[in-house]
Amino acid sequence: MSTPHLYCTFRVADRLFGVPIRTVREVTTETTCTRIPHAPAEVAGYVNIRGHIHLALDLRRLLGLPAGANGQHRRLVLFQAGVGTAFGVLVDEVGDIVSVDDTQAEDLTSSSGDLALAERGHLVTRLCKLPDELLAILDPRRFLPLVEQVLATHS
Amino acid sequence: MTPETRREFVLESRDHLLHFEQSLLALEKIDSTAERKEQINRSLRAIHSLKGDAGFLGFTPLRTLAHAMESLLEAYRSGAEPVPTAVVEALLVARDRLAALVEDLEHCHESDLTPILARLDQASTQASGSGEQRLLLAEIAEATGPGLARFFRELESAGGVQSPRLEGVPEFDLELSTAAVVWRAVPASVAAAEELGRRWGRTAPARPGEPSTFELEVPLKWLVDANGGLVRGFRLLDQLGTWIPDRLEIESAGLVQQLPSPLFPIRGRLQTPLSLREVHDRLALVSDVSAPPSVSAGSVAAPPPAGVREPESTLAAASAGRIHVAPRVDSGLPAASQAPSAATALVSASSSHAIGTTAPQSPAANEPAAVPHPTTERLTSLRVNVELLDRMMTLVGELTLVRNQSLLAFAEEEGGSRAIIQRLNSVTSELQETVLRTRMQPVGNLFGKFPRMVRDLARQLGKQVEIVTVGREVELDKTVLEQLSDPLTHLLRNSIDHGLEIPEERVARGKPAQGTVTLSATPADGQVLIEIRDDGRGIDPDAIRNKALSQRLKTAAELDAMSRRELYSLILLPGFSTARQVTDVSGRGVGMDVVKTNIEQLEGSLTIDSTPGEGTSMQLRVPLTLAIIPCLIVEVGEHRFAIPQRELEEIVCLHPGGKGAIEHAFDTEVYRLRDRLLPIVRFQEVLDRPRAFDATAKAEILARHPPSGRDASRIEYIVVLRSRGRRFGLLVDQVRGTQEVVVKPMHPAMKRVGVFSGATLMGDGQVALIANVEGIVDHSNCFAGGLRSATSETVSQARDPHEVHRVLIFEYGPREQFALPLVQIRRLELIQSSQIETIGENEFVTLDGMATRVVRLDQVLHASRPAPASQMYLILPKFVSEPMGILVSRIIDTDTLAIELQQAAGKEPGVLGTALIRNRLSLFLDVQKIREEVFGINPLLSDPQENPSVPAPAGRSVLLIDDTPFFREVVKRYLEADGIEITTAVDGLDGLQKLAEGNFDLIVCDIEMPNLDGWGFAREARERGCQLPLLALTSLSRSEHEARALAGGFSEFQEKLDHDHLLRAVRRLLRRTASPTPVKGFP
Repeated sequence: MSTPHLYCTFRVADRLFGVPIRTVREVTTETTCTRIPHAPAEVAGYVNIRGHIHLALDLRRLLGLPAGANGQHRRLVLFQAGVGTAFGVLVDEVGDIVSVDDTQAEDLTSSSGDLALAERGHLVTRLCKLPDELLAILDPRRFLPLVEQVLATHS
Repeated sequence: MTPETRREFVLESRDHLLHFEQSLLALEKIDSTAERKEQINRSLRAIHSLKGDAGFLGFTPLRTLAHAMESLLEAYRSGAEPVPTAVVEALLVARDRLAALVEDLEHCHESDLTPILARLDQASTQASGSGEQRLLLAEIAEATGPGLARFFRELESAGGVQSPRLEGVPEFDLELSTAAVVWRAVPASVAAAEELGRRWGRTAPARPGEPSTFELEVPLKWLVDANGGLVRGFRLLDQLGTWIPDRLEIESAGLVQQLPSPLFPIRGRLQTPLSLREVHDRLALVSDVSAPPSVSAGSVAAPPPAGVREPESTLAAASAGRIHVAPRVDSGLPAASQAPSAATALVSASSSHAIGTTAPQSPAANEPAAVPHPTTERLTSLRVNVELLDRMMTLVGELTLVRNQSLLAFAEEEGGSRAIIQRLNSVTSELQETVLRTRMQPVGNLFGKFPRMVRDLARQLGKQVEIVTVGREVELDKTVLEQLSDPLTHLLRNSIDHGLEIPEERVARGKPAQGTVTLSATPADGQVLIEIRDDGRGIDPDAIRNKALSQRLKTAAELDAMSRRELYSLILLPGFSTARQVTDVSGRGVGMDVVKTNIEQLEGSLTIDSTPGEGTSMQLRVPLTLAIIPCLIVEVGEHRFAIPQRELEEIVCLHPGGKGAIEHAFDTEVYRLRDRLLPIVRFQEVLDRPRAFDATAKAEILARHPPSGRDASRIEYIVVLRSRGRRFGLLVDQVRGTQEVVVKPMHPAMKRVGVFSGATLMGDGQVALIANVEGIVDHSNCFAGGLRSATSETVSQARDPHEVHRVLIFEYGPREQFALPLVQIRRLELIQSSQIETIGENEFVTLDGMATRVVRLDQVLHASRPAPASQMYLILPKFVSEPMGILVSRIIDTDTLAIELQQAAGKEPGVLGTALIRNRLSLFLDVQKIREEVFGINPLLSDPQENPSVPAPAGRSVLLIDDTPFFREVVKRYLEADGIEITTAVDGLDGLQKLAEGNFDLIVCDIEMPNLDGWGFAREARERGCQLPLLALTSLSRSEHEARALAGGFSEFQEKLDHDHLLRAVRRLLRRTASPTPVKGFP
C-alpha cells in the first residue's frame, strides 16, 4: 500500500507546481518587495511580514520561465524555518491542496546535490500525473542554495 | 583566609553598606512608626551582618566600628521617635569610614578609629532623649520602696548610667507622691536603659522586634557538625545577636566528665532583635540537618522544637538534641523587683512569640516562619561574574553557529533527526535571547546610588534638595548602564550645584525652599530617555551667547541663527569654560566635555533645555541595546536607503544655480569642498552595477556624466562620508532626514551583497536597506587610481579622530604639566581637601559610596608637590578595577591635538612619554603603571587559579598593528611589561609586510587605519593562510562590531584601552598557540 502525499499547489506561468504541505508555513497576500540591488534576478527582495523581514524569491525566474505580468492573484508562499531562513517564493496564483498517491507519481532524479546553474530541473523532484494535467513537485530546500550560488558566480 | 573569602567579604559588605545607607536615608523622610521601624530594622540587620562577618574573619576594627554604629541606632529600634538628624549624620559618616576600611582591609588594623567612635558616642549623648524618663515620684516609690535614697541606690546598682539628674523637682510643699519629675540620665547602653526601665516597672511587655534577652543552649554536637565546622557554627550564632557577656560558656561541671558528650551544652545569653521564633527557625534549620537522624524532628515523640525552659530542666531538654531558648532576666537583682519583671518578660515571650510556650507540640511550629527569612531573600538573585556572562555570550554565539551547521547538515534528512534539529533551533534562539536578557538591568540599580550623593551635596552647599526618581524599572543593557553612571553623577551634581538656588533665594522668588531634582527614565523609540530636571534658576541664553562671543567660539551672525537648544549645546563644547572659570566653579566646562565624550561613545546624545528662572532639563538619550543606530535616510531613484550617521560628516546640496559642480579628475569625479578635492561616488551607479568598479566601469560612468551635461533643473545632494580615515561624497537624489533604525542583519543568502550591512523597517512598513559605507568604498574603488595623491593630501589635513586625541591638560605640583587623553578618563571630581581621610598610610575620599584611593603624583613619580589648597580635583581614570583617583591641583584645559610622544628621559615608570603642548613639556601619565604602583599587580591577573596552565607569556612575540602612535606606545608598554616581545606596524600594509618577515605568536590589530584597515588586514592575512590568533583592539563599540570581527577572521575583540581585559585576552590567545612547534606567520 502506498501512502498519499499532500501538496500545496500553485501556478507560475500557467503551469502547476506543488511543494510538500509540511514545508509551507503560510501563504500571504503581502507581496510588496523592496528590491535588493546586486542581488540576482531570482531574488524579488525583502518583504515585511508582521515586523519580520523575509527574503522573497521570484519563482518564475528561479525556474527559468518566461517573465509575465504580476496579476492580482499573486501570493507569497512562506516556508518553515527548517527549509531555510525566513524566506518565501512569489507565485502567480495559489491552487488547491492535492493528495497524490505514489502510483500517480514518478520520481525524477535521485537527490544528488549537484545544483549547477544549468540544471534548474533539479528543483523539480517528481511529477504527478493528475487527471487533467501534470503537477511538478519542487524541493524548496534547494531554492536558497541556488540563489547563493548565482550570487557567488556573479561577484 | 583565602583571597576568595576576602573578596566575598568585600562584596557582601558593600551590599550591606548600601542597604544600611539606603535605609538610613529613607528614615529621614518617614513619618509613620511602622515604616520607620522597618527601615531601622533593615539598617540594623545590614550592619549587624557586616559586624558578624568582620568579627568572624578577624577584622576587629571593622567589627568595633560596626558595633558602635549598631549600638547607636539600636536605641531607636522601636521607631516611636524619629531618629535625630545628628545621629543619622554620624551614622553616615561612620558608614563611609567603614566603607573605607572594607576597601582597604590590609591596613584596617592600622587605622585609628578613636575620632569616629568618639563622634558616634557624642551623637548618642546628644540625642539621649531615650534616656529620659518621665516618672511620677509615686511610681518611683512604688517600684523602689519608699525614699529617694533607695531610688538613687537603684540607679547606681543598675550601673552604666552617666550624669543622672532630676529636673522639675517639685516645690517642697506639694504632695511628694503625686508630683512629676523628669529624670534624665544617659544609659551607657541599650541594655542598661532597658534594665532601668524594667526596674521601675516601666517596660512595656517586649514588643516584637525589640531586643530581648534569651538564654540559649547549644549542644556541642550541633556546633561541631553544623555547616561544616565549629567556626561556621559560631559564626551563625554570632549573627543572631549580641552575646552577653561576649562569649559562650561551657559549664565547668561538664569538663569534669572525661569527654564532652555530643549533647554537652554550651550556653550563653543572647540579646537579639530577632523574635524567639526567628532564633529558633534559624538554628532549627541548621540543627535539623546536622542532628543525628534519631533525633530529627519527627522521630522523637514530638519534642518541643524550642521551648521556654525552667533552668532546672536544662539537662533533660538538652538531651533531646534540641536548642532551648528561654527569656531570662538578669540575676542578682534585688528580690523586690526581680519577681514582677521576670514575670513580665515571660509573659511577653509567650504572648508575642506563641511558638515558645503555648504551642510547642503543634506541627505548625515546625513550619517556616512567615517573617521573611534572610536566607530565602538571598536565593532570589545570584551574583554572577561578568566575565562569566561575557563568556556565556560568546559560547551562545558559537552554539548558534553549530545550530546553523546542523540545520544545513540535516536539511536532507527525514524523520526523527529533523524534529531534533528543529528543537535545537528553537532552544538555541531562546537561549540566545535569555542570555541577552541577563545583561539587561533596571535603571533603578543605578538611580539607587544617587539619593545619598544628593543629600551630602545639598548639605555641603547649604541647599534643600529632594530627589525624585521615576521609571526605575526601565531596563538597559548592563554595559550601557555602567557607562551611564559617571555622566549622570556629573549632571546631577551640576543641577544641584549650579541649577538650584539656596533656600533664601528660592523663597524670595516665590518658590518652595526645597528644590526638586527629578531623575526619570522613559523608553522612547527603542531608546531610553533619561532626564535630569531641576526647578532651579535655569540657564540664561544671553550669558551663553556673550561667553561664546567673548571666547570667539562663534560669530554674532552664527549665534543669531541658532535656536535656543543649539545655543545651550554650546555648553558642551570643549573649551567653553576657560581655565579661570574651571577653578572658580566646579569644573563645569571640562566636566561637561567628558560627559559628552562618554555619552557619544555609547552612541547616545545629550541635549540641554532651560527656562530661565524655572529650571533646566538635561536629556540624555541612550540606546536600549546597541543594535539600534541613528541613520540618515536618503533616496536614490525610487528607493530609500539608510546611511549610518556614525560615518556621516556633512551634506552638501548641489543647486542648479549654485557655485559648486562636479568635475572630472583622472578617472574619478570630484567636488571641490572648501578647496579640497572630494572623490564623488554616484549611489545610483553603485546600485546599478553588481560588480566592483573596474577601469572600464569608471570610464563608462565618466562618459555618462559629462561635467557640462548636467540637468539644469535637478537638485542633488552629496553626502560626505568618512571611511578608513578618508572622505568621499556619495551622490544621492534626496535627503529625507535622520531616523533611529533597528538594524536587522542581511538575510544569510544575501551576505555577499557587500554594499549593504542590513535592513530595517521604515515607519510605513516598507523595508529599507542600510548602506555599508566601507562596502561602497570597496565597490566603487573611489580611493584607487590617479586621485590617490590628491586624496592623501586631503587626509592629512582632515580632522581624523584616530590621529588626534582630546586631551585633558592639568597640573599637580607647580613645576610639571601633565596630560591624559579624555578616553582614559571616567570623571572629574572637585573635592575639598578636608574630605580626604587617612587610613594607615593611605588616603581616601568617599565617592559614590565607595572609598576611593587618592593618588598623589609626587608619591608615585618624581613630581613636585602642590601648595596646600582647600579645593582640588580628582581624575577618576577608566579601566581601573580598583576605585582610585589622581589628585590634581589645577585643570588647565582640554585640547584636541595630535600627540607625538617622545620617550621620557630616564624612562620614568608612571610616565608614558612627553609631548610639547602649548609650548610646555607635558608628561603623559601611564595610568596602569600608577595603578600597579598603588595597588600592586592585579590579583585577578596573577591569580594562578584563573589560568592554571598559562605559560608565562615572557619571550612570546606579538605583532602590534596600530596607526596611532599614542595607542601603539601604550599597548606596547602594557604588553612589554608582561615580558612579551613587540614588533609594531603602522597600518595593515605594513602589518602584512612584517608578518611575512617575522615569526609571531599573536597579532594585535587596530581596525580603523589608513591604507589597509583591520578588516582588510584580517581578510588578507587569512587568505594567505595565516593561522595565528588575531585580536582586534579598537575603539569601535563591541556590541556593534564584535560579530563582524569574529566573522571576518579575528579570534577575539577587545575595546581600547582596558588594560586588564587586554592582558587577559592576550594571555588567553597566547595559551592557544602554546604548541611546541613554532607557528610561522605564513605556512
